[in-house]
Amino acid sequence: MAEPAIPETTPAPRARRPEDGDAPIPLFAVWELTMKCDQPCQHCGSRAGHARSAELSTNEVLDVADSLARLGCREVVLIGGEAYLREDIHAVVGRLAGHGLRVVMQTGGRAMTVERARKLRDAGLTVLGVSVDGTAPIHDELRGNRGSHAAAMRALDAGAAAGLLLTANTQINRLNMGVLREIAAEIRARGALAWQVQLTVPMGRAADRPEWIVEPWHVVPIIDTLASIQREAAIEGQGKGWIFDVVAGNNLGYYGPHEALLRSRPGGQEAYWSGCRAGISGIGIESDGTVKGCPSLPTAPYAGGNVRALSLDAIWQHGEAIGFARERTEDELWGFCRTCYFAPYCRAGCSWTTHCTLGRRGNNPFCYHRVKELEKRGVRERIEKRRNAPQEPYDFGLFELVEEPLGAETASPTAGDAPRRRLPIASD
Amino acid sequence: MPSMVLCPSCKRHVFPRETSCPFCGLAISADPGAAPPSPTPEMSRGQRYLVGAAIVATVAVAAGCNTKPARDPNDVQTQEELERAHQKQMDEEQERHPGGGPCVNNVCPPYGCVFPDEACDILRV
Repeated sequence: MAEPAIPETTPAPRARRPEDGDAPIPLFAVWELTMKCDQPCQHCGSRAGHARSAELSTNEVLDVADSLARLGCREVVLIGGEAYLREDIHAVVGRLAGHGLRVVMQTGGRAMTVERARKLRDAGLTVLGVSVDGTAPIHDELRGNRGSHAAAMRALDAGAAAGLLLTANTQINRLNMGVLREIAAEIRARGALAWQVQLTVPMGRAADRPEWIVEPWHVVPIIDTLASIQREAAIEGQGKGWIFDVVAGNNLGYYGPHEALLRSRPGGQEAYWSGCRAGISGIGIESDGTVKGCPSLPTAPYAGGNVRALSLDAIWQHGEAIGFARERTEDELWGFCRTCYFAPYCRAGCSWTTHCTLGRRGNNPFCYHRVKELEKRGVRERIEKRRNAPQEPYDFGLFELVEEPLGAETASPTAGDAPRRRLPIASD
Repeated sequence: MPSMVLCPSCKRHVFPRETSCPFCGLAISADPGAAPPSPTPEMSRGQRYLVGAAIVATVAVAAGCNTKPARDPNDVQTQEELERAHQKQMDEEQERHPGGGPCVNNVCPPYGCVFPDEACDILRV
């Protein structure tokens, strides 16, 4: 039987190479250029809308771009709000591309015309990533914006017409977890090469909608479905020169039977979750100059400094909150994760997800392996909201983990009187 | 930290020190440099894809050719319910703001005619 051809790929810029060694290097930056946004997304983690009162000036942004290049960054993803709403966006893209960095823009795409996409490409943009969070009614519900889905589709078309590489990303929640195949088909039909999927985390406005957040045990059917989509895409992609790549985001895992499939490039099985890379290979920058180890992390506990007060180099090297993942051990793990077989490698998965859900990192119920292990004991976990978010950018509330028998009638995520075993709640 | 090893049988990751897979029991080679043994003669990547496809097709047929993932009965809303709720919300908003008010669910960012060259009427909430 003939071996199907797996397309040749070049190493991803963000991937750590042998010559990088183990030293922390911000290989991959996600940069919120502005908080200004043209959509009122109801699950937005940063509560974007208006620009911040003190966003970085053009000169300050260009200085940060130079610093990123100097620190060894190889890929920058520009986000917002909407990054294209900055008037100096072409200068920023051009500066980064001029340093040889791969420049990506992640967008809701509402105003991404062909002309705008072409100008960005001419400035040096390589990849356009469009957020697609469901079929039209679901997407528009999540975005709080009728016509948003149609605009996202037009954005993909505009990117294709401009010759940009196209990707899409989806936040998975209770509204869209049943239409993953439909989303994949839609974005594939419009030319998306890759699809990054991750769970909606109760941060920002999403923290105000606990009924949208998946229960921990939902991750098994979600991941099984994604793996099925990837396998089918691998078969369908034979002979076409590329294979549609389903990419598990950092908060979707961990260590189930599809771990290698969803974390490796199509045809490979080399990758698996190896712990939070915040401040090790990743860096996040907010539009007022605040620097974090990962763009998704809540600001208050993870701000390592501001480029208006310190150089980016100094923050990267010495910012205490930036480097939390560099030296941490299994000692910070708690709950199920503390006793898990995978603890030395996993360290409780995504720090952002755990901190925003349970109040501190170190225990992650949104885990394939954990759900299956609990299933053997005849139980499962669900989350109950205990505290509201304070309505600030990148804020979060607090949820409590509740263990219940398998197949128990699902209670509201905000219900609080069910007679079930309550697991320890986090306290700082 | 040494790389984990992928069990060729159950596709779970295991520590390189393991002599057998803790999840399926398959014997794992003690030599981390050697390819782990397979419970069956190794298939090529193409063969694995085809076997996978056959399994997918079989499951689809067995499930009445319904390739849509089954919705869990505990899901909050069916799509029809969601569409009805969405339409109701949009209609209520329209009643409150006949001219197309800017706020949705009390969130009022400066969306609207962001760029002079945009066809705002197409995108207006």
